[in-house]
Amino acid sequence: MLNQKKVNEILNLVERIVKEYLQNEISRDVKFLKDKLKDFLTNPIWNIAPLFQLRNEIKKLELSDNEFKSFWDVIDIKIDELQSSLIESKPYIYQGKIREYEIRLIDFFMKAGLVKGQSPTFTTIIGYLLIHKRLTQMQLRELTGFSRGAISNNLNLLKNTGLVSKELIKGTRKHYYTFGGDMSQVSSKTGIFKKELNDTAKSYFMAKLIELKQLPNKKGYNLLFERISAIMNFLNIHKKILDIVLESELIKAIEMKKI
Amino acid sequence: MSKIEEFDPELRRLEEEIVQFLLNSYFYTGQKSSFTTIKSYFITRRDLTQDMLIKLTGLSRGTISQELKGLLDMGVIERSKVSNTGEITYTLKSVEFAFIHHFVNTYKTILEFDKELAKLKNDMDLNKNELENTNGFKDIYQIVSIFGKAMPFTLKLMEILEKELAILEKK
Repeated sequence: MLNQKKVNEILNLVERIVKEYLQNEISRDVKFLKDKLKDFLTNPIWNIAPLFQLRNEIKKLELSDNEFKSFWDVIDIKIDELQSSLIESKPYIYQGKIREYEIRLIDFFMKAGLVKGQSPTFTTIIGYLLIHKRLTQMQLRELTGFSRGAISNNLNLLKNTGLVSKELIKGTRKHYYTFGGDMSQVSSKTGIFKKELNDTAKSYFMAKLIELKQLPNKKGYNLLFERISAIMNFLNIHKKILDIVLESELIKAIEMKKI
Repeated sequence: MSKIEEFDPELRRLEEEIVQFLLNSYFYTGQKSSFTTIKSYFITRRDLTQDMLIKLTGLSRGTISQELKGLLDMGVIERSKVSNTGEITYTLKSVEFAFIHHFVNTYKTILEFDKELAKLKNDMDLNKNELENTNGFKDIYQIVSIFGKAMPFTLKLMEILEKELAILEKK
């Protein structure tokens, strides 16, 4: 528990650290010290016990700066080797430059999504599904760092609109989530799919208009009539644009896998 | 009292159904629900006050005023009237605009995206020989190429859209 005595004890330790630092460090950059200290106290990486053992062992070697530099290279290589042997069993985790490209592409999706008013979480998930074709919730968590809840909420949203489908992985209780498969399928499918949704919406509002006509002289009739007509007007414009997209050379080229 | 028209209960039910339909439609997929709820009621009502929105949506005053600010900033709604008591009436500019406002005036942004994507493709091209067979390269490269090609096309679509909007405004 946090009592005044404990706080004072801790502040005394802080005082010793700061004094030591300011006396020994030429640069005396307090902000640097603060950042390092905070990281040291909160970052779980410093909880790994062998870290301190490693530090002591290396100290005992009494290496010069240059000796340490070359010794560090040995450690550096070892870490890279371990990374590939430990992570390569996960083909969906891309390495090095490829991961960098992936992050840049996801970043692009995110910004484009924001223009459409879509949340970054939502577009990030779409992005990874587009790149990887299919992923489990667990894999998505690993790639995005998002919480379990955020991922399942957004996947449900995508599933409800029909953009993403879910399939059971045989012999397990896990599911793959797929964004329409290959890019050539995705582009035409989403186009046709949007057109279908547009048609569904049109017949829905047509039905509502007929329903409304049964209720003339009711309060609000004129306004609602005008508003539903305006919605239908929008759906017509939307259809016109979808037709242009679907009949474009671009979509045809993607479908024919020419890109 | 606000002069905004109350709906007959039967029309209110019809309105509620329409709002639900819009909220579940793909037009709004991925957008914040408080934002789309308020937008939907502007679609069905055109003119609304904060009090009226609270009644219709059940959202808190704070949320509503925040979303109203957003809609004002985006030019989707405007302040059309202030009553003697200081009550503000907000008016939706057009139903069409409420659906597509996100795409309007984003020409510049899309051009920037175009540049960014071209740069990514260029970087990948430079390393293509070396990395082509590395896990993941082809998948990313294909998407980057397709989106890169789609960019000029997107700009053309935006032109069409803006023309349609201009026609509507004249009407």
